[in-house]
Amino acid sequence: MDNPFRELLVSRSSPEPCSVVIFGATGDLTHRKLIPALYNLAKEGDLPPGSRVIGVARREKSNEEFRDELREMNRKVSRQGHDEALWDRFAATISYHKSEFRDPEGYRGLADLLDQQDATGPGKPNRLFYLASAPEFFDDILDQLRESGLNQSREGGWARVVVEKPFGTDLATAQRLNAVVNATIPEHETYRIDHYLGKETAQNIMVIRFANAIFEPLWNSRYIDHVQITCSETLGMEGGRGGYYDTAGALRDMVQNHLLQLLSLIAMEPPADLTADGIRDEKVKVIKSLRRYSDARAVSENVVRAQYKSGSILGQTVKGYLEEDRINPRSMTEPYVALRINIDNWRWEGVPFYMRMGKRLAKKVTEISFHFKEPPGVLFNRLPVTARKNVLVLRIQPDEGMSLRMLSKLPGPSIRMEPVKMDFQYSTSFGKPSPEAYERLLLDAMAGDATLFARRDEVEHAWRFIDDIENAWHKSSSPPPMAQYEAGTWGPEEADNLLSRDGRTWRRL
Amino acid sequence: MDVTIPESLSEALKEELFGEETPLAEIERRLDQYFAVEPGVTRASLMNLAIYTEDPETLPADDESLNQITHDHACRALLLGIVPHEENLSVRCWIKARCQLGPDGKGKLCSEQVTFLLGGDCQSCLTNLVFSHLRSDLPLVMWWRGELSNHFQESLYTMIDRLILDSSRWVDPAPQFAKIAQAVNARTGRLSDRRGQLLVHDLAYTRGHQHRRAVALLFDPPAAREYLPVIDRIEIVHAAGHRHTALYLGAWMTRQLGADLVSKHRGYFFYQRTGGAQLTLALVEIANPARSGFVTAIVLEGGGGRFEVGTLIDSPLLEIRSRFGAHQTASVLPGPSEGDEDLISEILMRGGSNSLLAQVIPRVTAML
Repeated sequence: MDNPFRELLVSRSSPEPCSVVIFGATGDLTHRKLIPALYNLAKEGDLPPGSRVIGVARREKSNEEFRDELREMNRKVSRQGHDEALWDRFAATISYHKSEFRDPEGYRGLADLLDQQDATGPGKPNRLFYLASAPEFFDDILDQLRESGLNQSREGGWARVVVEKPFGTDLATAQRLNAVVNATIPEHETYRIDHYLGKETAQNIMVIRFANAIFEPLWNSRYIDHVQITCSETLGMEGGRGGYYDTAGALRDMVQNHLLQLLSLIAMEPPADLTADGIRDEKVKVIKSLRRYSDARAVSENVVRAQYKSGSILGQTVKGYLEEDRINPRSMTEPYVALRINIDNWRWEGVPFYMRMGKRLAKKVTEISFHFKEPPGVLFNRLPVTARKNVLVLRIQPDEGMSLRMLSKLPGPSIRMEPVKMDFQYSTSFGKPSPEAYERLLLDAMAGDATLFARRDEVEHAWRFIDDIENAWHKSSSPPPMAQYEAGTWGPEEADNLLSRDGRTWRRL
Repeated sequence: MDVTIPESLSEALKEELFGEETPLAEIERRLDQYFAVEPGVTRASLMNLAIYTEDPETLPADDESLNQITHDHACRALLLGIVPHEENLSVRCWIKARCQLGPDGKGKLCSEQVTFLLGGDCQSCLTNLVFSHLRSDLPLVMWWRGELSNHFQESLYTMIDRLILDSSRWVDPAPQFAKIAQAVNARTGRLSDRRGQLLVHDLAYTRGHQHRRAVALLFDPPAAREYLPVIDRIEIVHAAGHRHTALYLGAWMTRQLGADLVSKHRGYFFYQRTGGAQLTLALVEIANPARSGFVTAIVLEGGGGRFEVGTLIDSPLLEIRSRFGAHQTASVLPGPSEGDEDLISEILMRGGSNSLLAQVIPRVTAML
């Protein structure tokens, strides 16, 4: 029986009360993102009553100690501030369970705890297992969930798993991880989280494209000259992140997941419906259509990797990549990558998608820009003018919004034209701040809506594309060189050449 | 054509509360001038938002309402004050910008406000004033304060996209609801961009939004839903002056449960559910409730299950509790917004068709 009081009250799937079991509960992700997200959901009244949180980690800790640590961090980072009375009620639903990730006894204890809580809960024994630990423990946790029977749904409830990135480090490891995941939890109950998809502007891409009449007719190779996707960061390897980063690099850390997800959203065909698989079916077609680089030479021609040298950002002198903390001084890992990507399908034939992602660049910005073809060179377009092309920009972060550049006549008796910009900003148009990506994604997982999560085939096809590049860099006899750029600039000259060879330039940001 | 200024407004005018007095024909030009000379200013607008009142003494308070609403919703604001009993057709107007720092702390983000004070029999003049001072292509939201007078006529309401009113302030609600029904069913105005019916928001209904969410949350667990067919008693406890919100909540719950009103007697409403089961709705008014809130408790009972929404002492939160079978739950969620401006802000934020209200209104009128 449906809940009749939900009729017309909300226009989304209803999240169900559940026990959220977080593995890696003492880590940064839990403290900074997951618990504040759940708290904010509770504050908004969106967290289903009866939901509980169990943190699982290896350190000895009491419930009270765990809650106190979470409270301290929530005070600092909660998007909506920290209300002590509300926190007390929320915290009463949080408990801590000490267990080694490989210890069967710990999982038996966890099962007992869940059974006890379910016995007094309001409904079905729903369980959401969140893998927020270091990725090397994913296999062990999944194996133990299976061995202990916790992976089995019981008495009409469900058992779901949320997996944080990285989803493997290459195709082989991703396939192995997916096999372990699917041996434990069926694919339709598996939620591979990519927090970029939870961002308001990423969700808005489909609305912009398919709820407006003016964009989709132009959204193809007939009108679009090329597309640029930029994700630039000013940060380097602060806070000890170098240890992980030097094993990953920009291509695997950002491009394989976040940026290819954005690419698939902007390039996909209209889905048959808005169901999770309806959308993901179309996204995966895009990723399957990415033209693969056949050898190291093709990689060299289409991909630039680079490391930053010392330089200055916002007046501060910063170290080069190889001098950073926890970075191998002889590292061949790339904190910067730029790619020219072709999508071999009907819609995008001949339209290059240029993508760049880098650390220690001039400013922090993530955006997608569509550069339209020039109008016919007659009438006004015989006149000299800069920035003749229309550019549509979708800003993902910060300053979320969109803008459209067009030409306009300068006031005066003569015909002179200048580019002008129409601009829409989320922050000034809508009073309510956007929820954090994790809030939306946690709620979706509780509601069984996998639309904003990556499916197994999406992940594996993305790795196929990425592996060609990684193999050319690290396994070929003539690997493409590692370029360099000064920290605080917009990247290496080689990345500029990637576009200038085609008669294009990176958008000035 | 000068309107007689009510004595109570003279202080506000002396302090230039409504901005710079401007000749009617100069409004747009002077607004343009203002924004042309102010550097670093964004003239932001998402909608046309008009407040209409036939009690000019409330204009300073209405001005403050606009101040609060425009903080979150940039708009072209129109403040329309009607001076009753004025013999001659007359109008005075003022303009001002409402600015705040941009989100990055730089630059200013401004809404613009035009205040009109109208006297005389100015039915068509009111409509034309609104028409001629709208920002094009943006929706018109009108907050109508008080009773719907004969100024509420077809040429005006067919221009409106969203109409906001508050039935709890009406002396005689039945004819007012009839006017609303007529407006909702009227065809779209020839100059309006809206498709479909006029969207109506009654603040008395909006005040119950968090309570409706709370009731919905109570029945999200599948085990709780098994009690829905056997709910036979609903009680709503409300503060004096908030009977309309309680009526709306009762009408909404009984509609969603598929129950039809059979009879009523002194705050008790007797329903028959699909299948013949009986359901009683009781509205209990308390003059000085011990707990805060305009609706202090909602209880649904039946089949041994009890589902409650209540307010906490000294807390703005709502508490929901349920007891059914071996299950007991208790949880809290944010309480309802109290101020009209907060409610309107929520309405503007949520948008949507609000179509459930139109289905609930006939049930409320049957309960009056």
